[in-house]
Amino acid sequence: MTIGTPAIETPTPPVDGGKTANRWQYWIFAIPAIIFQFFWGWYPMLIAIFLSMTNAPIRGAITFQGLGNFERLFADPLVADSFKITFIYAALSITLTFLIPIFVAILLMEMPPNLMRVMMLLWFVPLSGIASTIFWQYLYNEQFGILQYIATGVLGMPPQAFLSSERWVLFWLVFPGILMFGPGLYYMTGLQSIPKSYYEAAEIEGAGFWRKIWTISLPRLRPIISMTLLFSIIGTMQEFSFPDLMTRGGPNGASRTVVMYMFNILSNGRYGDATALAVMLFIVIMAMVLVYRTVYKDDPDI
Amino acid sequence: MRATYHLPLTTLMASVTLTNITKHYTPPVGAPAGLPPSGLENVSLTIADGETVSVVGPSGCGKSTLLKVIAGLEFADQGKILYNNYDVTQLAPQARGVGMVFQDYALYPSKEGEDNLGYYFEVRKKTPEEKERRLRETADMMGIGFELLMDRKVDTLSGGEKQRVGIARCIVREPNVFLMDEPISNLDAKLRESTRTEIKKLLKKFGITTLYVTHDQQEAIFMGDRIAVMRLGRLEQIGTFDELYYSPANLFVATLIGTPPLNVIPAEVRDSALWLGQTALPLPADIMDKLPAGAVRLGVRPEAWMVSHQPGDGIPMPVSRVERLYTERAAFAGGQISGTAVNVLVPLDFPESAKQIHLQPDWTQVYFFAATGETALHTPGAPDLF
Repeated sequence: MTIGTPAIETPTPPVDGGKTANRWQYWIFAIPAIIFQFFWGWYPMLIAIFLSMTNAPIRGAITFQGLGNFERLFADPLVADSFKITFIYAALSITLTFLIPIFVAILLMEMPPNLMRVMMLLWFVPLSGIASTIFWQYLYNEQFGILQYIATGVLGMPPQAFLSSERWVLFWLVFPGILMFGPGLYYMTGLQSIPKSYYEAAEIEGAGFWRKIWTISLPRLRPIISMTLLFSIIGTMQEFSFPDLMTRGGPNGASRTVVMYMFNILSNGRYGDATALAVMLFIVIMAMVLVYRTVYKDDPDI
Repeated sequence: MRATYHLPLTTLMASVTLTNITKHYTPPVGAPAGLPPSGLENVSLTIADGETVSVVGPSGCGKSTLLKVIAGLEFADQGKILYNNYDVTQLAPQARGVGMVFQDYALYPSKEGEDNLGYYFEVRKKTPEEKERRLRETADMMGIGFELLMDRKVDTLSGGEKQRVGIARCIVREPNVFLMDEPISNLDAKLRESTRTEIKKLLKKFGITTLYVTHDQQEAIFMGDRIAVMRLGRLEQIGTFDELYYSPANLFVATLIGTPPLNVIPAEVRDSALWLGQTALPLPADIMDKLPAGAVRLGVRPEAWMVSHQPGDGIPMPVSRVERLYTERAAFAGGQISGTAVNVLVPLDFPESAKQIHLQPDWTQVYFFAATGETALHTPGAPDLF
């Protein structure tokens, strides 16, 4: 700035800033969102918290029970089991379908463009939940499935139990997500938006493959990774349809997640207990998200 | 496997010699057929120690590819690259000791200026003392106010400041060769002029062998000791500005260098005279000897016309427009001769009322080209000024 530059006179803004007069317009624009938030968000949640402390009958008088529902749930060993299973499922799922695709995407970016497109297509194929579930049931079939054929015929292993193994059922439930789950695509689009010259500059300075990933790719993917991880936590903690269709919670309850157990309780007509379990799950997920937000601060630079 | 040993160069300087470099890209799937091939065709070029060569050409001519091949970011299909006498053709980029400046700066955005400069020392695992020392030396070389940029985050720097950091990032590691890929194209016009002066000054100071790629001929002329003109992956000509301007190798170079470009008018050599439409001009004997009888093309630069308002004083040209460049203290009169658009340099006070002027080329400054193709039949050569 040159010293002695004449100050430019700025016109004084109108007293109300030109805004107060139109404030009601903001409300008009906000009302649809508020209605939506209230009826599909806050209202059911508040009602659920209220109902979790009652017997929540479909008809008849509501009786308030305090924390009785919660006490019953704490005494139920199956609840603890289902939480344990859900945590394992979420951890497995996040490791396999969240971390691996990051590196697969980074490696794919080094591939010829044609191969890259095929892989992106595979990630993007709009598979319907039910159809792909049936498809995977065939793959996992213990007598005729192709995976059994690979295990015994190609790898020469003893026959595998797959979904009927209490020990491995959670792994096999998560496994399809590696290939079919979407975040790989987000990572690739994120990676593609990084200017090539960044890598060239780093290459000239002598940075190797891993250093380029560490100092350029990952920092640039950070916002996408942050968002995907958050959604992964929320999504996997509430997993229901895929394990339910694949195993119905079996074998021997080894794949029964919290939401599946909640569904069981609901089917038995214990509405109060089911809502209490839902509230418990909500509190657990909320706590996880809060911890995540404090630990993982968004980089202010990107 | 690429070799990763380091060049045994001890001095900062290296001459660069390219011999018959050829590089082809496979066209991407879905690219329309019939596109000109991208890459390099048989490019040979020598850059002397401490010399700056600017490479200019239309987009897609392979100038950036040339730069990448020299840097080692791309590898040539055929040919050889020497730094001094060392063959670096198969050497990885980090082993070549080049510094590269990019059009989009390519600074690591989440780091401060200083860390951007220090990245190299981090990668190479140099001692902190050496890093400190080099950073200080570089800041001194970059001039006043550079330290202030060092502790600012890259995102808060302006384009010109970013490019200063980008250049400093190259200097800090004492490169053998400096490669610049359109370093100032992203700046606005005013900043561009001051930055290019500054870069030129720095290059003079370092005396590092430099290849400067640009699409702007003004910039190429300003920056380069010599200028290389490229088209479709081929090196058309390399030389000083005078050589390119007065002795172009072919029609392409002749029309590329110079603003407004050379006027090229179809003409005919007949009865020891040059016919432009209905006008016959007597030709000097020395030029006449070089020209075949029949159709040729005459090239005249806008400033090489002798303008007259008297009828009968040469080729008549109806004036269709006058473009006055007040800042340049000049004007250009536009019109047509034999159906070809012609620009003529006229004084700024050229009368608006002039509807027709009469032109005669200055025969010491004319070019002749074959009627078809791009062969130059006659070029004026650099004028003797003294």
